[in-house]
Amino acid sequence: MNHYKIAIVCLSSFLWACSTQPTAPVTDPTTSSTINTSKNSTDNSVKRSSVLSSLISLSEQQENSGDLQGATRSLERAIRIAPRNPEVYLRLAELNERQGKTAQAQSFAEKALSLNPNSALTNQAESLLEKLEQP
Amino acid sequence: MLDIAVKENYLDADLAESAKQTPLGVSTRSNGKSKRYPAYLDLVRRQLQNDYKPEDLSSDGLSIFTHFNPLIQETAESSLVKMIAKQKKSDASANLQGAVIVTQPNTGAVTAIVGGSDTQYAGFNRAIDARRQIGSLMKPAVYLTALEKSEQYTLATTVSDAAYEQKLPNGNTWAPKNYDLKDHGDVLLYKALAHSYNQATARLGNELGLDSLLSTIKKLGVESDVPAVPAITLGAAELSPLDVAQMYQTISSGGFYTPLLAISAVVNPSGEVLTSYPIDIQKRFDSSIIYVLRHALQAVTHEGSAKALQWLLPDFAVAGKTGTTNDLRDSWFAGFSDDMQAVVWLGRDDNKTTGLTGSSGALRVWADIFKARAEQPLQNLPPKNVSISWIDSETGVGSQEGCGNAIPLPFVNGSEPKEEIRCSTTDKVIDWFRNLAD
Repeated sequence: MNHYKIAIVCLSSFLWACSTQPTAPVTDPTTSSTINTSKNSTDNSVKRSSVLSSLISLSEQQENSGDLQGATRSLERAIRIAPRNPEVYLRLAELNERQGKTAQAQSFAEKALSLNPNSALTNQAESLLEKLEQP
Repeated sequence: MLDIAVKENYLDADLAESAKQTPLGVSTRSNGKSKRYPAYLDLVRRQLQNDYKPEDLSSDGLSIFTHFNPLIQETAESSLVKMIAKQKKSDASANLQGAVIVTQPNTGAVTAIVGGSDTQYAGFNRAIDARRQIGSLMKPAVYLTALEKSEQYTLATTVSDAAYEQKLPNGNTWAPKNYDLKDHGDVLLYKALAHSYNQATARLGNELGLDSLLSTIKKLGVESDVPAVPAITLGAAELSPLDVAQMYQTISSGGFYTPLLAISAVVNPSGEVLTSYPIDIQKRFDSSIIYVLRHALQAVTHEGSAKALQWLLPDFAVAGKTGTTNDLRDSWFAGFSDDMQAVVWLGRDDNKTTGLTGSSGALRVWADIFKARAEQPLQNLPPKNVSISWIDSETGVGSQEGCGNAIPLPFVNGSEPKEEIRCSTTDKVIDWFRNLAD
């Protein structure tokens, strides 16, 4: 009988992740204002914003170098940190559209729209949806 | 034979917290300590089997990246174990068992699974395999079906909670009673859900029709067959905690069906991704309707059957639903914040009474977990085509802020009732509060 050992790695930290240090705190202009503030909110949300920007930049770099799967994973990590950020979903929609994955692109664009995006992102998402509906 | 050993990347608590937030640049060390998480690994194994045969996984050093969160897992385990230990003393709750599934809204990531009171034992995984009646956990599906017909039903629509009887095809009469055995007369729709009134729900379900209800249940992501009987409105369906988590995931994800995933990627020793499991979502319900439903599910935690959360989890906006089945055989709570969703089930394997309601049992375990681990309360800014209107809480007619009994409720634009009650000194309608709420 063969035994196969598999190491289950928790916390989903990828081996090839860039070890960029978080940049100076940046507030994310596209996040809609929250009415309730979370516990430890200022510290964590500032950390979250800077990590979010880093991940978005990373996904852009990866996409430019042709690593579309990597770019997708970076955006997914961004979603885990900021699950209500419409910009991240919109970028994921565009990434999927560039890979010809129309259904997923549509879903992510609709998700972006459902999260109170600003008017620029709303227009972008709606244009993408229009484009996807064309045969 | 597949032998999975968990090499826990051991981090001290502070580092682990920041690692959760900062996936970049974290170096981890394995200290060789291995703790088993059989319930979680069970799900990993099952999801792997869809894509891999045991012989495919033959190379040593294959890494399976999961969404497992050891901090949430530890809290979920200790909260469940604590409740079960506490109940051991009372006759009704000896032999109490339970299950917990924690997931992340919007991504579908499964972060923790507890399959029973013996957390180290790879036995019957109740989280995935226990099939139990879900009782009132089904009610949001009924109210969602109603709210989708926004011209006919809003949170302010009055529904009757008078005694209800229905003749069944086999000639029997079905007469479900409220938990408190009282009739509550005409109540606003959102209250019927918040207080989990059986009579109002059964009547509403009958108005909507079985086909509509079954369709909503399917759209929510329940794949198991549910019986096509009127009692489905009160949860006469057997589902696993995982099924329930999948169903509530569609609500916590704003109307998007979001398949639950334990695995994020399978990677070979050279760091190449063999299989990636991306987030996959599908719009199933309008996000404004879900927002409106969610308000009622928040009311559950403010004035309804889970109002204990006002002191168990103070100043932290969440939404959820209690579930209690006949003779208190099952105690359920399913609920979510912006960053976490959890389903807790308590029951006995021999299906005898537990002596616990959803509120006195599962809710406590749930509250413990959220108190320790949830960080982002529900963000309540309404979407673009939803507006807040003031409603008379007794009659459901349009009112104004500051009038007696007036409460704010969200409405899909155009569905709000006309303003009939005015209590301002002038005849002019006061609009400024609306701007504040926008």
